[in-house]
Order: sequence, then C-alpha cells, then structure tokens
Amino acid sequence: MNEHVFQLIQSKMRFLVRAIILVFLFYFMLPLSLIFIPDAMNQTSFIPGVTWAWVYGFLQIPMTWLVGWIYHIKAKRFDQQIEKIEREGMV
Amino acid sequence: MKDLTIMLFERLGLLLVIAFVLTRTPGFKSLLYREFSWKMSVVHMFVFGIFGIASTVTGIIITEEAEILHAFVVFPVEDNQLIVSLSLVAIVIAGLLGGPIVGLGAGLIAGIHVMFLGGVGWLANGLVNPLTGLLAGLTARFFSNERVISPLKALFIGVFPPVLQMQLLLILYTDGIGMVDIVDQIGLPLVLSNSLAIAIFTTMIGVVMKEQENEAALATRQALTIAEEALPFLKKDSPIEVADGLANLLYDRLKLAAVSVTNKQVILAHKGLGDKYHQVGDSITTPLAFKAIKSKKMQISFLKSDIPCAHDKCPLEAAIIIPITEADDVTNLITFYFRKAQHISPVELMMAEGLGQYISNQLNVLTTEKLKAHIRDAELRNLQAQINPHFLFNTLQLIASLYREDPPMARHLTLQLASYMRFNLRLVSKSLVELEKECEHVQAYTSIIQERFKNRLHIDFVMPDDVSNIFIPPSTIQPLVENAVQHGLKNVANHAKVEINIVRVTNELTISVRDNGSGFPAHILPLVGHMPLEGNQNGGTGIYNVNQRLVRLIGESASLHICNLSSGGSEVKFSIPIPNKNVEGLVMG
Amino acid sequence: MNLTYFLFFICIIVCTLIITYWAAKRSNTTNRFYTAAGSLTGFQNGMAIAGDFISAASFLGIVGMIAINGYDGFLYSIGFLVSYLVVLFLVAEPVHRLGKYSLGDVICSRFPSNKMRWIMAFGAFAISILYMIPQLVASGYLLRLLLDIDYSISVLVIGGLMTVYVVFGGMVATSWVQIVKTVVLMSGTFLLSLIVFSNFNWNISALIDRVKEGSPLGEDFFFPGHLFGNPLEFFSLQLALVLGTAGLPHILIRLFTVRNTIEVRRSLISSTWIIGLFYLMTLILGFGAIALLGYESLMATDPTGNLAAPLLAKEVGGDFLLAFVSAIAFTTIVAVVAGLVISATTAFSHDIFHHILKKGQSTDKEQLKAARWTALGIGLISTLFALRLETINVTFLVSMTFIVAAASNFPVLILTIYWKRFTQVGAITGMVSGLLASLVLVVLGPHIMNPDGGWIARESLISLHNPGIIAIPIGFLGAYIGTILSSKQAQREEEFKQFFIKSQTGITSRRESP
Repeated sequence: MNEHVFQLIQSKMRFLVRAIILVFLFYFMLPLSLIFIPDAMNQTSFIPGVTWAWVYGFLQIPMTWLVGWIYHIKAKRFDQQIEKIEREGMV
Repeated sequence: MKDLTIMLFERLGLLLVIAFVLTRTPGFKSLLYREFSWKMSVVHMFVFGIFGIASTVTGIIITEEAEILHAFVVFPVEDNQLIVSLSLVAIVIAGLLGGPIVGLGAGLIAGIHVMFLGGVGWLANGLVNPLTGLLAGLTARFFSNERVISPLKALFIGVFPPVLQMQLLLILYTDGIGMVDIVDQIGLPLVLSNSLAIAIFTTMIGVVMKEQENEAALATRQALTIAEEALPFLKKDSPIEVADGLANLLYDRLKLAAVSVTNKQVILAHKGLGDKYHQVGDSITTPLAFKAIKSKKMQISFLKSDIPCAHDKCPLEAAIIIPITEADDVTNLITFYFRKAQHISPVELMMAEGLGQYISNQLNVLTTEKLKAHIRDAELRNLQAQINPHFLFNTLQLIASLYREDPPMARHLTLQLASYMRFNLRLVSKSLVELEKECEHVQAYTSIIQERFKNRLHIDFVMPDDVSNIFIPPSTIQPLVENAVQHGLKNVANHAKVEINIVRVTNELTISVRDNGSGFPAHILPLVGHMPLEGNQNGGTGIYNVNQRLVRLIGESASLHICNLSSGGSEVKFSIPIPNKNVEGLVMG
Repeated sequence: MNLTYFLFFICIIVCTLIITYWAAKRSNTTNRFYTAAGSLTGFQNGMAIAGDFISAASFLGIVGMIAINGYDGFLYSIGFLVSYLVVLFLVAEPVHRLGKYSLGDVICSRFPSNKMRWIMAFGAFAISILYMIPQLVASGYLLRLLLDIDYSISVLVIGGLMTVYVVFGGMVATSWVQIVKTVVLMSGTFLLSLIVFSNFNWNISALIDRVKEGSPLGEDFFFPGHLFGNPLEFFSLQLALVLGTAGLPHILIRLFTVRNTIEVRRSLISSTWIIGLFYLMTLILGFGAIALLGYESLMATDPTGNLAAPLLAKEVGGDFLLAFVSAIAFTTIVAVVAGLVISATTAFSHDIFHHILKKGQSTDKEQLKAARWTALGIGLISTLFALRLETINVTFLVSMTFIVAAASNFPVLILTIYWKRFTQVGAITGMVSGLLASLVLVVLGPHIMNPDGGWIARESLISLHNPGIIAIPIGFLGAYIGTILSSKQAQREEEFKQFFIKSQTGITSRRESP
C-alpha cells in the first residue's frame, strides 16, 4: 500500500512541478520582458489605447484564477484516489 | 444638517407610532410566526409595501436651493426637487422578518411608488428599495439562528441601506445639481434616523414575541395543573360526584362564564352563570349537543340558538361542547359557556380540545384497570372452580358403597354432590352471590364430608338468622372448610371438629373456620394466603385463591386472618362490610 | 464637518467592539482563541484570508502608487495576487496537515526541538511586527486627515484599540471581523469605482484622457518604469512578492481554521477571486484619483500617496463619502492588525510558553493569559516603531515584510516539506541567515538610509529598494550550507518517506520500519 501511495504522490508532484514552472514562466516573463524589450511592451496592443504591457499585466489575473481552478479539480481527483487506497488498506 | 436630522426624527416618530399600533393588532402577531406559505408572504409584502409607501409620504422634499419643504409628499414633485423618503425602514424590517422574497416584494412596491413621484433621484430611490429588501432578507437568513434579529444587530445593519442609497445617488447623477452637496447634507441624518428607527422597531417586535411566548407558557402551565387536579375526581365512583368535581375545578381555573357536565341524556352538574336555567337533571335538548355526541368531535357555537339552552333570559351566548369518549363511545359532554362569542379565543379552544382528549384518555385508563381486575377475578374463579378430583372420586365411591346398604343416604349424597357442583358452576359466572347461596354451598360440601367421615369428624355450622341482602364472593367459605378438613385433620384420628361461624355485628359480617387439628406448620404460617403453596390436592392454592379474590374485590380489610389456636388447631377468618350493595357497584355494575 | 466623521467613526468602532464582545463570550478555551475550532466553511475562510491579506497597503498604498507612478504600482497588485498560487500548490495542504496552531508546529513535526520553536516563534514575531507597522502608519495618516489630529496621537490611539480588541476577542472575533470587513470593503470599493466611472459618463477613454492630463507624466503615465529606475528592481520586487505570501505566518495559520483539505483549497481559491477583483477595482480607483484630483493637489496633501483613495472619495462624494471610505479603511486596518496580533501571540504563547517554558503542561487558562499578555506587548512595540516611520508609502513597508518572509520562512518551509536531506541545523541556519540578510539589506537600502528624511541620514549602501533578489538566495544558501555541514544528522530515508506521505495525504502509517 505504501508504494502505491508513494506513486500517487509522485504523479501529483509531477503535475504540481509542471504547473508551478508554467506559472513562474508566465509570471516572470513580465518583468523580464519589461527589462529586455521595453519598446515592444509599450506598443499599443489590439485594444486601442492599451499597451502590451498592460494587457500582459492584466492577464496575470485571469491566469491565476484559471490555474487555481484546474488545480482544484485535479486535486479532488487525487483525494478520491487516496481515499480509495485507504479504504482498501483498511479492508 | 441639524434641522434636517430633527425633522427626520419627527417624521420617523410618526411612523413608529403607527408601527407600534400595528404591533398591537392580532393580525400582526400572526406575521411573526415563520410558517411559510405563499399566501402569507404575499400578504406580508403588501403590508410592508404599504408601510413603505406611508413612510415615503411622511418624508420630506429638498429643493435645488437646499431648502427643506415641510409638506407631506403626496403628489409628484418637480424635476429639480429630491424626495427624501423614509421607506427604507419598512423595507429593511420586511426583509429581516420575512426573508429575501418578502423584502424584495415590499421593496418593489415602495420603489415603484417613489419612482412615480419623480424628482431628481427617482431612479436611485426606486432601485435602492428592492435592493435593500433583498439584501436585508439574505442577511437575515445568515443570522437566522434567532427568530427575530436582536436590536443591536439590526442597528448595525440599518446603517448600510442609507449609505447604499447615497452611493446610488452619486452613481446615477453626477452631472446636474450638486449631488455631492446634497449627499453631504442628507447622508448622515438619514443614516442615523434609519438605523435607530429600525432598531426601535425590532425591539418592539421582540416585545411582542416575548408576550406571546409568555402567554403560551402560562397557558401550558395552567393546562398541566388542571390535568393533575382532575385525576382524583375521575377516580370517584358516582358519576354525579365526578361531574360535580370536574365542573367546579374547571370553573375555578378557567375563568369561564359557566361549565356544565352532562351524560348523554341529562345534566349532571352545572357551575356558574345561568344555573337557574341549567339544573341538574334537566335533559339535553339542543341539536349541537347531539351532534357532538354523534360525531365524537368538539363543537363550537357562536350563536345563542345553538347552545343547549332554551331560555331567553339566560346570559350565556356562546359555548364549546367537548365530548368525552370511553371505549369509542361518547359517554359525557363537558360544555364551556361564554357570555359573548368574542370571548372564545384560541387559548380556550386549545384547552378544550386538550382537556377532552385528556379526560377521555384517563377514563380509558381507569376502565382498563378495572377490566384487568375483572379478568383477574375471573381467572381466579376459574381456578377455584376446578373440582378437587380426589373429592369427586371419594364421594362417588362412597355413594357406590352406600348404594346397596343405605339407598336413601346414597340418594341424598348424590343430590348434595349435584348441588355442590352446581355451585361450582355458579362460581365461574358470577363474582358475587347471596350469602344464603354460599351457605347452601358449604352445607352441600359438609354433608358429603360428614357422611364420609361419619364417626370421626363433627362439623358445626352457625349462621345468623337474617342473612338477606348480604353478598359475598362465591366459594370463599367452602375452600376454607375444605382446607381445614384436609390439612388440619390429617393427623387426627378421632374427635375431629370443624366449627364454621358466621357472625353479624352491625356493619360487619365475620366468618371464621376453626379446626382442632395440628395447626399450620410454623414455617408455612406466614406464607399461607400470600403465596400459592404447592400442596397436595389443591389445598394450598385454595386459601391463596380465596385471599386474592377477597382482597381484590373488597379490599385489604377483607383479607384472611390465619392463626394457630392455643388450644391446638387453627383458625381462618375474614370480615366483610355490610350492607354492601356498594360492593356490587364496585364490580363494574 | 468634524461631527460627521466623528459620528460615523464611532458607529463603526462600536459595531466592531460589539462583535468582539460577542465572540469574547465564546472564546474561553485555547482552541477557540487560536483557531476558531474549525468552524468556518471554505468560502468564509477565503473571505477571512482575503480580509487578513488586503491591508491598508493594498487599499490605500496601491491606489496611491498607481495614481502617482502608473504601471509600476500595478505590478505590486499582480505580485500579491500570483503569490497565492505558490501557496496553493506548494505549501497549503502540507501546512494544514502537519500543524495545529502555528507554523512552529509544522516545522517541528519534522524537527522537534526547542531551538526550532524559538527561532520559528521569533520569525513569526518579527514578521508580524513588520506587517503591523505600515498599518499603524496608515491609520495615523487617516486620522490625521479626518480629524486633524497629530500623527503620533492617532497612532497611539489605534495601537491601543487594536490591542484591547485582540486581548479580549481571540481568533473567532477576527475571523468574523475579517469576513465582515471583506464584505464591506468589496462593496464599498465597488460602489466607489462605479461612482468614478459615472463621473466620466461610463466612457473609459474619457477616463484615460483625463488621467494623462492629470499626471505630469502625461502620455508616459501608462509606461512602466516610473517607480523603478533600475530594471533589476522589477525582477527583485516580483520575486519577493510572489514567494512572500507563502512565508507569512498570519496567512498560513488561517489554513488551520478549516476542517479538511478540500476546504483549504476552496479557501485559497476564493481568496484569489476576491483579491483579484479587488485589485482590478483599485486600478480604477488609482486612475480616478489622478484624473480627478490632479498631481499637484495630491502631492500637496500627501506626498506618500497614502491618502489617494480617501481624497478621491471626498472629491466625488463630499464629506459623507470621505467618512464612509475612511471608515472602511479603518475597519480594514483593524481587521488586519487583529490578525497579525493573533499570529504573533500564537507564536509566543503556544510555541514558547506552552511547549518550552511549561514543557507542554500548561492549562488552557494559563495559555490564554500568556496569549493576552503577548498581545499587549506586541501592540506596544509596533506602536513605538510606527511613531518613527511617518514618511514612507505603506506599500513599501509591506513589501519589506514580504522580503523577510520570502527569505526566511519560505526557504525553510519548502525545504522541510520537500527536501529529503534537510536537517534541523539547516533549518536553523536558513531561518537565521534569511532574517539577517533581509533585515540588514533593508536597513542599508534607500528607504532607511536616506539623506533627507530617512532614519539614517546617509547615502544608502545598496541601491535596491527591494533587495529580494539578494536576500532570498542567501536564505536558501544558508539552509543548504547548514545542511551540508550537518549531514550526519540526516534522517533515514524511511522516516522522511513517512513524513512526506503524511504531509501530502494525511495518511499516517502505523507500521514501524524494522
């Protein structure tokens, strides 16, 4: 049973690591792009009057919401699997 | 701002007076019970919506020049004037009490009214009412562990609707007249007055609820007291006593105009007003009473014509008739009388219904108890009626042996045996017999025994001359004699003697059976009569049986007294009270 | 004028105290005092977390920063928000499963030791005080604006009230005050934004144009770079912000107040929604402030930008709205301070008093008394500090706290949960190095060492306003070195495995390894 649990945790960890890396990439690209390509960031984007810098910055907010939501669903599934193992372990 | 504040408080004072009067009406009290029904909710919506409209009417108008107009707001205002309405108080209360839907509905009613009146803030004023109602209702749900929110919490909640109103004004009207100044002017006065008014109104409601709860508590206590006190009356023997006791009790406790207790035909007792017209023994005449008897349900009459009373001068005008049932049949009616139909309140109705149920239940219980005693008695008699087989056997042998030698004696004994057995049969069917019959029973037995033990045993039988009209449980003497013969004289070869004495002393009849045998063994003596003793030939159980039947039927006073005589032998005796026609009555006549 | 504010203020204060009283009647055991006995739902807890988090810095400071500096102010919002994902993914569930009352519990579930508890408690203490200082500063400003009272007096008043509040209320009160405050804050801010919009007739481009007019930066207002001259600053700031929340004790202990891990996740997700929405609205408020007030008048009243939001309210709604918005700000501060004091008192009374001084033997009543004395102490210390920091925008101050948290608590927490070879010594060195590094770097930085107006009136040694990019790696480094040096003490692999499973799933295996 221990091994099975460990495997589950590993798969969860893999998901988490991937998610965190993605989040960090998306997030840190913002300051990095401000540092290295300031002119491009200051170009007006597809929304009139709003530069890319603002669009990018603004997008961080829905990104947070979306990623949080996805994790919520995945984690619930993970919880159910753990419960199943626990019950089988008892029986 | 000070003037405005004072004026708002004045207007709110008006509203609160109306609200207070509202809380005194019985209609409002029903509002407070949160049983949900669509109809009630709609009613509430309208009541509070109208209250909201009234609040707007008692509001004030502010003009462009920041002047306050004192008139009531009845007609639509001009475009550059602002209505300051107090409707939020009513709407918040609607939401807190009735929930989000009632709040929303009331808010819509008040809001539409304000919108019609026009003026600068028409949209804001109109919107804020339903919004507030909805939000207040949701907040109430949130705090809903109390039936009515506490005034303090209401105070806090009441701060926010006017703030919302101000904000809506600012959102919807940023150009045009200096809305900012106006908000500055009316904002705080509105907040203060509204929140205080809401808190006060909530307190009022709390008071009403407390009153109702107190009322209910008192009524409950009263009902329980009556139930307790009624019980001894119900146990009494004569119906008149029961009726009288009950009527008195109910009249005293319930503050009715009059109480009467009847059976199916006549009045048994009447206490209170109109006793000239409702006398004990008068027969029942009114259709409502018969209806009660037939339908076994409580009847209420609000018209004089329905009451069981034919006389015009009788001051009683309304009544509640309560049927008392025993074993599914109406045996009695209890009637509560009132002087005016309006005096009948839910409390009396509840009390009547409850009492009817209770008394019927109690009577059923008592009946059941008596029934049980009945059955037990029948059981015991059945047992007793089992004829001792040895006795039968011996007697028949005796008859057979006498058949040739002494035919007349044989015939005599046969007849006596028949008589004996006849009495045994009667034992099963009746719980009381005349003393004469029992004596015959005993004599039938003793003559057989005497013949059997011709020279060895002598039986004396003494009874008073006048034994008429005395009743005794059947087969109470014969078993004692049987017991004396069998056990007492077991070891006596000759000169055995059994004395049966029946003595009558004023109101008591004493029956004693003595033998000159060996007496009861010491260790058995305390047990005899109290326990069925496993004896030979039924003897042990006989005494126990007799004792049980005597005690159950007549009482402890009739229990057997058993002792060993100093001169040798034993005595068993008992007494019963006479005249004992009552005894018959005791046995469920 | 004064009367209006005063009355309104009194009203809010009274209501807050009533809720405290109501909660005080029920918080008689340590459990209730510390963590509201697991009685909140996920969403309610999410509101409470948001309430704890959105402090004066977010409400007052950020609006001011956006109004003055444009884009760079918005970066703070983003950093604050995304940090919650770090908490949710890496830290939340293990913390919930491993601990009961404080962060000390969490670390000590792997490295039980008194030294550990001391250090954790001290860290929590320090962070709470650092977070509290900007709140008191902001309240000082507020009261000064409203009632014309001297800054120092207002700080003293607020500090005293807060302390009284927590001493008698405990965690339940703060939970519900947080929730009530979040509701009031969100609705108030929402309505204020609506008012701002309606002032421009719901025309966004009109708003944007006025912004450009109002600010001396003109067209450049919307371009990044006005606050942070050095590009490194961007990165350093974002780093500290995104990792900092995962190291804030007063946020993490809110993960103990719910019953199971699903509610933990729900809490965090709810807070991200609330906080995200809130930052969107502060953006509008920031724009509105500069557009409607103009740069000069803003600077004249308050060069730090701390008062932009209330001033905006006064502009669009007169004194009434000013009073209301200030009341909201005040409630916000009350709530946050209460939360901070709780976390600090937990650190002391539970970790130090109960575990160390009394060796796990103290009664509930004693612990309660200790907690209350600590609350008193903390209130005093922060008030004293706040008195001296009058000239800084509160968001800066808060970001200092984030640096400290990200450099000390965060590395230790992460390494404890995930690194097999981590040792107790490593944990201790990590905490110490992180704390020291961040504090030293801040003191040497341009906020404190400032020729005009700073505490130390000299040229700053380090030019970074936000030395996160230096401090955080130092924290990790310290932990690493400490571990290497004490590698003999490393736990056996099996032990760590059990610990890891427990922290990830809550399953405690009862089999002892042979």
